[in-house]
Amino acid sequence: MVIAEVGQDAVTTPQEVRSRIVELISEGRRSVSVMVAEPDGALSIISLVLE
Amino acid sequence: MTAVTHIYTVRRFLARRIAGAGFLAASAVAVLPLAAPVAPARAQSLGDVSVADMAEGLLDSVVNISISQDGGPSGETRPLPDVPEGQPFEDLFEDFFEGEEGPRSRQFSSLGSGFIIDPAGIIVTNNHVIDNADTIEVTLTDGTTLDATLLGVDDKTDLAVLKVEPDAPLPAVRFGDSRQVRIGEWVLAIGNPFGLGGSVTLGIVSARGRELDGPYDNFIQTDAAINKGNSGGPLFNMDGEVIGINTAILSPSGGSIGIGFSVPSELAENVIDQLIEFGQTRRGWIGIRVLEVSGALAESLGADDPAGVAVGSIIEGGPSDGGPLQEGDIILSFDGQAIDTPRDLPRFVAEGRIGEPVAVEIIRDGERMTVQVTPELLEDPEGAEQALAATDEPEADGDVVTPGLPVTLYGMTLAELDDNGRALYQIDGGVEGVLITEVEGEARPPARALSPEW
Repeated sequence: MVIAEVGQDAVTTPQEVRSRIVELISEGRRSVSVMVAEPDGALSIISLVLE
Repeated sequence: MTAVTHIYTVRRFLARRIAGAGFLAASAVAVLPLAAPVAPARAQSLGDVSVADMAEGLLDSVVNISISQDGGPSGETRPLPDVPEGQPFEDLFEDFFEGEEGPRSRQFSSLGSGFIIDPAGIIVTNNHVIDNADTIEVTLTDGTTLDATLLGVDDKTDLAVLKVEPDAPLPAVRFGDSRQVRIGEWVLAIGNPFGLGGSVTLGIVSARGRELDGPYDNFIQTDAAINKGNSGGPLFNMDGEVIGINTAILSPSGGSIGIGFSVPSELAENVIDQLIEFGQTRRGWIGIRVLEVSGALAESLGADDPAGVAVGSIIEGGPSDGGPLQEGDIILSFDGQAIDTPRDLPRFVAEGRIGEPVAVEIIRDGERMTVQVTPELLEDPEGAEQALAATDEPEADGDVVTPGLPVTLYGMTLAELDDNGRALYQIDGGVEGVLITEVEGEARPPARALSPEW
């Protein structure tokens, strides 16, 4: 399973995922929408609650 | 010539003022027996509150520092001392050096001040005073000139420690605790402004915790007159203890306008000890990047108010890698010192002792707890710059952390989606993104729904 987008921004490296989540936290977001792709390419959006 | 006229003007003016003060003092004494028969010991004359006694005892501990530099072939400009960029003294130094006459092969310039902290001849000054010097000379108040050797410098705090070999023990001053200094407290500066020799000026602490451009800046601001040449001189409290080292001024004109900055003893003392012992600073670091805590971020991390700083990320291979701190923790205090801004933490860590566990108060998932963190020696000062600077831009992570290394976040292990990963998890070539390679068993529910097998 692949994380394609975090908070509507495409990500390509693990560091980007973390940076983007940290950035959203610092903006005051309590949850982040993560677009995930299944191996066959099917996309779905999962809400990651940040604690 | 104009300068001489100017000095005369000031002297006449002073004479008038002093005469006036004497008159005031006399009338106060005359009134005293009538007004206060039950409290005869209370000082009421201006003479009683002067700092003359104190200054007299301290003047001999303050020295004049001169340096010589090889001038090189005639006609070539001498190198400027490397004043840290943006320091208010920068302009002063340029003026000073460019105003000099043509270069000679070796010339001593009176550059600044210093003070004796050990009777055996250990002297503290500013780094920018002796930077680029070929030889350093120290002149005592009695006119004795001694050759000084450099024990160590620290450009981050602009401090330097010199050693001279005196014939007899020198009068030393001691450090006070600048943490106890309050705004409004009287302070006394002694230095060598414009090469005039030992000059005493008086003022108050105007502000504390001033930051200019250094990573550990925590200046005491004072209105005691500090001018070019005062650099490296001490700032005393009224107990005659050194609470700061006069380092910089803010001035559009180049002369004192009552805004001077002094490196506080709380920061300087430790640096100086290290320079004496090791010849360099040995700063600690704890290997985290921190973020400012906004109100919203505090709420989202379960804290009541936006105090402290949040752990943005843990630097891989650093002291906190595998340690007690986690991303998202809010650090409230370090070794009992409250942390308000991201700049506080590196300073407290750098001031602390390396290798000794320190109690760090944090909020994690809304719960206050205390963890023990052990600062380690920062080997690479340049990397430290990046690591210690507050990461306003989270993207900066990529600069320090090698891209492509796995990251663990919210119970997931993430890796770059490369050909191996595609093959292993049979991921379609059209899918772009970051691969989830592992999910921890006890991960929080939303993360558990993500799985590498999908």
